[in-house]
Amino acid sequence: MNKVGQFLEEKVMPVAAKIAEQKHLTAIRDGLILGIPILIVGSIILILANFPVTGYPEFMASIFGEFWRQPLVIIYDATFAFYGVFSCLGIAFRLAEKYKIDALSTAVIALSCFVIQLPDHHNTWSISLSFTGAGVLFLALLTAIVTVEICRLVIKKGIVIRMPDGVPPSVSRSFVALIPAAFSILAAILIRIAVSFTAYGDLNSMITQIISAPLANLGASLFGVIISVLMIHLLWSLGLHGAMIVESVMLAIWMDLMGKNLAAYQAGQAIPYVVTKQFFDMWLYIGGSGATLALVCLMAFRARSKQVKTLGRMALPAGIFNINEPVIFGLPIVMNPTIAIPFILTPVVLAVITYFAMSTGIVARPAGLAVPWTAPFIMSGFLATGGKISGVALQIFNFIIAGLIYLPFFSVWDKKKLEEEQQASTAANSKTLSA
Amino acid sequence: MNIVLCCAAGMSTSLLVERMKTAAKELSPEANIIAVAESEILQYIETDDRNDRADVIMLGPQIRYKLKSLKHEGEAKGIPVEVIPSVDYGMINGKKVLELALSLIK
Repeated sequence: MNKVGQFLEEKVMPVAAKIAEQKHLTAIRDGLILGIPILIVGSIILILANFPVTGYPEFMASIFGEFWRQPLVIIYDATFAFYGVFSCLGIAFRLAEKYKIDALSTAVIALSCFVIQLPDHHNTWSISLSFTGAGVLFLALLTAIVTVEICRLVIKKGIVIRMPDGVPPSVSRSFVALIPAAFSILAAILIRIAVSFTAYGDLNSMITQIISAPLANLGASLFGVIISVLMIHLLWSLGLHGAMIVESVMLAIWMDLMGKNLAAYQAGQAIPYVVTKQFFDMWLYIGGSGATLALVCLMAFRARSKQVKTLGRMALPAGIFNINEPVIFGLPIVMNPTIAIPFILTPVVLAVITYFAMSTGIVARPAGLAVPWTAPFIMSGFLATGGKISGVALQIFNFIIAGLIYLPFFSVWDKKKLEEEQQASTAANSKTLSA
Repeated sequence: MNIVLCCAAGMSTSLLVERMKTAAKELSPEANIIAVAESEILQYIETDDRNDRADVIMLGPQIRYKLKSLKHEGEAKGIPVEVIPSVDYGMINGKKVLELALSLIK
């Protein structure tokens, strides 16, 4: 294994580093993360507004009056309906930061260019909230990247206004952004005018048809899921953060699908997609990547080896919140084929089960609600489906399946560790005897 | 003195931070130990404020692919950057990681 491991490390590390260090991809991933806490707040509000219990709306109306939903809708508009805006700001900020140009002012320029591209709302020269949310994610990320690139180019070519010495730095800084802003905004409006002459009409429709629709099809397919899950867990079994690397590429797609599901959920329509970010976080990664909560429970309650048992007990509290680095590096799973096999196999099996259970309609699909990945299972399945018990039942089922897959591999490893411990203690005993 | 631990989201290293703080009570009471996400680490290198800047950066082994580029960034500011040994990381051995961090600063 060590030779194979070393070989893989040498071959995989540079590729992983390349993807994980690619400036645009990491800026997209980190920028998308910026808005997630706000999405979580919005999700809680949305669950409160649509709690799936009969009599709930009437009950709320009897306490707060017939417009009880109004404040909740306002919060929804200010959180979810602006996710595209937050993402544009976040991605531009993170990319500018990597280029070491003024991140905040560049992000604001990007936001301005993003607004320029937003389609007109029925020729009223107003902007609809339906074009500021997750539905325009790809427009947001492309305008962010293009704007930052324009700004960088302008600054690199030295086309900036320099103030004479003695001008306060904050004043001169605001002028530094002036020329890049002018160039970017000019480019943005020219693009808008050019696209308006095409059949697409506006840049958002063009990007949706050319880029996001094909990507959504790929990301939403079982094939796309299995490849992603395999990659993530192969990387983890080498001790590299698989999700972080794969999400550099896939997160935008999964967030886009999540936004589409949410729009349907909001409108009371059938949920269109099975695969969103929550598909992975809630039903596959119970206890963290590799669905290790089942393994940790086996370790904590079934292990005969003292070392395995101690680690299991230590890792259990974190495992409930889906954090599993102690097991991955402590048991270890890294470079340990005995446990790495079920670690890679389990999430693939769970992906297939979950995909079929949801696409056939036996189990409710994730409703696009942003449930944090640290939410404990059972609760998280309930929240992510907008309060459907079937989501919880599938989580429990998946947890048991994970336990069954891990069990034989766990037993082998536990036995090996127990034998090592017994040998060590007999060796220690014979030493004391001979002494 | 700022000891900055960095992993993907800053979550799993925060476990280690708690253990390190306990160990720091004896070894190095003046140490300020924090866990941050990978996306935020640049701020702790770039800042000119001595109170905020990292004195040493310790990476979780799962993001060791960042070592090369962060080492490069860190060197420009005289900040040592190192990967936490995976055994100590897995066993959440706060004392050992703290000792390593302190030895890097000197």
